[in-house]
Amino acid sequence: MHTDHPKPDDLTALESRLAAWQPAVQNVDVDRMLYAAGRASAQRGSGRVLWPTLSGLLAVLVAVLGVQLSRDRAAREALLATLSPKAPSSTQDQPSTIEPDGVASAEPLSPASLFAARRALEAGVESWKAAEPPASPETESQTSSVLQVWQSGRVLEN
Amino acid sequence: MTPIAPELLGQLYRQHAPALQLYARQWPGPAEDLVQEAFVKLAQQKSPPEQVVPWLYRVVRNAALQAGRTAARRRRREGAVSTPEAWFGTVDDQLDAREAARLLAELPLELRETVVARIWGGLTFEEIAALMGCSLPTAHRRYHAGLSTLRERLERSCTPTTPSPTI
Repeated sequence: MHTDHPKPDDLTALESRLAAWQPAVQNVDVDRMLYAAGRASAQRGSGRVLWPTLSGLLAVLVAVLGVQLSRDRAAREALLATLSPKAPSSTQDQPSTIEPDGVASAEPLSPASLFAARRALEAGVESWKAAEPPASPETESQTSSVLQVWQSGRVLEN
Repeated sequence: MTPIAPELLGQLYRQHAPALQLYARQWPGPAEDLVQEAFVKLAQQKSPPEQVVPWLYRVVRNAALQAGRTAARRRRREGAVSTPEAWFGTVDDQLDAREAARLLAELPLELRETVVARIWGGLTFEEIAALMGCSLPTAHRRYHAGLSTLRERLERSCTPTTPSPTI
């Protein structure tokens, strides 16, 4: 940007005489001009409102479309529920039990197994006693040497 | 890509506004407003032009031509006559300012515009040719023709009138 613009120096006498004539300085008010320039710049800045306005409009559009979509979905689900036959869902009402890994529920558990003991503990001590297998003479003789957990009452009786 | 600084804008205005107003007065219309609008337009530029002063002259010329067409239509409609303006603040001892303005105003527009842009605007002949949309030789020719005409009229106006002999 070149702002310096010197007067031509290769002037003849007439040119020098004319160049000495000073143009009239009428209404050369710098402050007025700067005020007008600043005001014009501020007015031009109002164009910056465009983007926020556009963003706001798009946000409103997204909100309206979202509400419309949710209403449409709710109506579709209601229609689906109306049209579909109601099947008895007994399996859905039962609480699901989680079987331990590696244990086949179809096979009976051995009373001496760890899983059986755990289940008995979870059910309570009374049920544990009830689940005690009937003592046979053979087993009596076999188990007499080894004290089982559920035989603690017997020890106290003796 | 930054707009021109207000300090530089003010400096340019102080330096070039009088000559630009003189240039704008070559056409009918509000010269002060045209010059101020040109500076306002300069302030609004995202990046200032490479050659600021010729750019200002071009903006003033375009606006003055437009305003001149409007003013001419209005004058024709209203029948009004433009009042003489003081184009110069100070001239030399041999001439007063109003007479100097009259001498300059009597030149044809093309010659007058070239002389004003060269003498008081300080534009080069290349810049004047680009400004007026003419060739470089044409700008030279108009300038020298304008100067020759002015010289003749100045000599005529400065020649003391001899008193008429009394009978």
